[in-house]
Amino acid sequence: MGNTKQNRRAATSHDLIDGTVGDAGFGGENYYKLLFENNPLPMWVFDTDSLRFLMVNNSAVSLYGYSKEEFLKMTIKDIRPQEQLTALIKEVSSQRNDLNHAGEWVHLKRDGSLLFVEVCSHVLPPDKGIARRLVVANDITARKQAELQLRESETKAQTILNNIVEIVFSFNGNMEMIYVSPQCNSILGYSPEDFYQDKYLWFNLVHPADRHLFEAALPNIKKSSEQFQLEYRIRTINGEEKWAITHCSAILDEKGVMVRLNGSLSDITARKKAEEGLKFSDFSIERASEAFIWVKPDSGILRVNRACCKLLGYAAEELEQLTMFDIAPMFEANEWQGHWQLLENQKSLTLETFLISSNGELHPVEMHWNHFVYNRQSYSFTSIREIGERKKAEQEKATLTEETARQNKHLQQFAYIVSHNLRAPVANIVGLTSLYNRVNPLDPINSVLISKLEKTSLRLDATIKDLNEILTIRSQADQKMEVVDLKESLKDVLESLALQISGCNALVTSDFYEGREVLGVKGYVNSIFLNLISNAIKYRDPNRRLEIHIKTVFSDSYLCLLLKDNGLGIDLTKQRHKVFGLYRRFHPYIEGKGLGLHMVKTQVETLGGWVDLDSAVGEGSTFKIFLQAPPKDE
Amino acid sequence: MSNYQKVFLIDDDEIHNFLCESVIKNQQFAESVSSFLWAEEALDTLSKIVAENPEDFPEIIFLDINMPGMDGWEFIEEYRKLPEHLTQDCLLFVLSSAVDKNDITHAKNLLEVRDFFSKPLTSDILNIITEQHSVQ
Repeated sequence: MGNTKQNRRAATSHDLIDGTVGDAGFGGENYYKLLFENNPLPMWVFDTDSLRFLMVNNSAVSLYGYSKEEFLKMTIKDIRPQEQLTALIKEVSSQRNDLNHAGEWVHLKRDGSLLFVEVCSHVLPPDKGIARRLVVANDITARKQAELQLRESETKAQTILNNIVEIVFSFNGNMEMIYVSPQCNSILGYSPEDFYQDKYLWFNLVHPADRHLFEAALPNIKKSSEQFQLEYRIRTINGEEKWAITHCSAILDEKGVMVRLNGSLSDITARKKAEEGLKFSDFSIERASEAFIWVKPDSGILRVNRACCKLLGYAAEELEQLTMFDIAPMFEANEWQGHWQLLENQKSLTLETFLISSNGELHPVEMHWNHFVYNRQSYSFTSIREIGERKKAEQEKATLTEETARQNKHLQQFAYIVSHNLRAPVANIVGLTSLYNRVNPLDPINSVLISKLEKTSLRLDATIKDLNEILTIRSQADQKMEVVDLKESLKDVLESLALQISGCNALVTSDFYEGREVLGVKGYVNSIFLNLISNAIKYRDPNRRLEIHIKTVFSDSYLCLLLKDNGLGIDLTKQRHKVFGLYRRFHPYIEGKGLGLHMVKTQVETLGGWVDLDSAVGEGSTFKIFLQAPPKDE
Repeated sequence: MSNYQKVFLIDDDEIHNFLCESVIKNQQFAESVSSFLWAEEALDTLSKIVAENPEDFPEIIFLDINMPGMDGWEFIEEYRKLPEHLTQDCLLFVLSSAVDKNDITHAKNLLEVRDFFSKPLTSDILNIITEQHSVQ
């Protein structure tokens, strides 16, 4: 049978009270009394009808704070708080076993404080018709309070666990999950049970590309109690990829073996995405080939990208110390306000300007200003595009257009001259032929007409040859330039003109002290000398001896050939624009085709030089031929 | 009887001058023809006539445009300065080998120029002059 210790002890008190147990071996009734009185457990006997205390022991006196006399005047209701009385009445009026484990009750001490007790009672035989029960109260206040505290802190911990956003987890020494907080549901889509059942689930959720992080860190985590931090990607139950950060630290036993691994996991996807987005745009901007600059309303430079640094030749740190005034000379301090105001109103502006780089170079640029407000601060995000190339292309186009226009003008002039000079002899041929006397071939006029026709035909032929020569020079503009010795060239020309020179007893002097070499084409240089000297002879003043003085003078990278004569001279006030024109002659009575000076001009220009003329009627002319000097000593 | 007394030819082209003289003579267009290879020379002669025998002022002048030295345009500038009572009775024709439209338009727009003719001078041209311009 269930003969428990409790039973035996209760039986003992039963014997004590009704005295049925003999005193053999126990020292009689006094002994049991002693046992009752000095029992360390608080005990009492009460009248089950009146509920009055009949006996109390010392322990009860000291626990409850009432004296024995006080107890004996009280009922068991007096040691209960008001709210327990209903339960007590119910208990005592119920049909109870002889031995009744009444369980845990709350009692009231004399000083009003509460007492947690575990109560056990046993029926005693009635004494003088009074039904009695012996009660043993075990003080469990301390245990109760501890339990309460535990429960409170558990509740507190649970509340915390339920309210944090992180998953809290704990592994044992075998890396089996022994706890995971319910947030695993919301973050990972798995319940804690899923993790308790599948030991590897937790690690299998880690993105394959990031598992190496764990493989590398785990051995270290297991050996140390330090906290570790890992950022990695995970896959949720529906395959969604999330960024997670885990903080964990191991608990080691005295041998240094891990017995626990506690940690937390937070979802940092949003942060990571924002970070990645930011990094991505930062990266793009930094590496863009276009220069970007962030400007503040006070014209201060907030930030620049690499291309901007490269363009302006500054380090980013240097630029960020500067203002727009330092790099954009177009901005005047008093105009900046206006510029910013306009930008704020229009939100974006485009303007062409120059930026000055660290070495003082000016860069033509197009700037796009974009106004924006961030954290209630006004900024401009400004892109800078170099338009030097475009400007250069525009310049080149303009030069080309100019050149084309010039060529066109040449062509027009040429067409005009050609039409006139070719048509004139043709008109003569037509006219002369119409005068021919066909009726009477012996008419003396006919032979005259034939000789005139011949002269005209020869002139036409000569004109065509001249035009061809000019066209040839023009079309050979890209002829290879060589170093031509002016002195040698002059010598050749003087030899070929020796007859004419001696014929008019001309004096020719030359001085090549300042330079005798030019870049050119020997044939052209010879032709230039030939034309100028034969012109000088042709248009000499018959009243004085012809003198031709030739010398050279340096003028920057050009050598200027001066050819001065004391001939008739040309009235430049009237003729300057016509001097070098095709088929221009200036001197009546003197035979000339008007081709020489035009040839000189054409040849000099083909060689990259130019011609100038000083002249006065009756004094003579000085031709200045500027030709490129060869590069010095290379 | 010739239509006109005195014609001046101003052209640096000797052969054309010969041609003109021959045509004028054949047509009995004028009593006398004076040819000038240089406009300067013609101007000098005209100035001298103005000063000495104004009655010798030519009735007709054929003027070339493209000439060395003073060209046809420059000659007209100077011609304009001569006494108006003499020039207004003189018919000035531009006779040029040019086929340039601008030249033709420019010549026809000048008050002093009666007409523009393209070389060579032919009997047809002389007939036009006789019919259209001598009426006045």
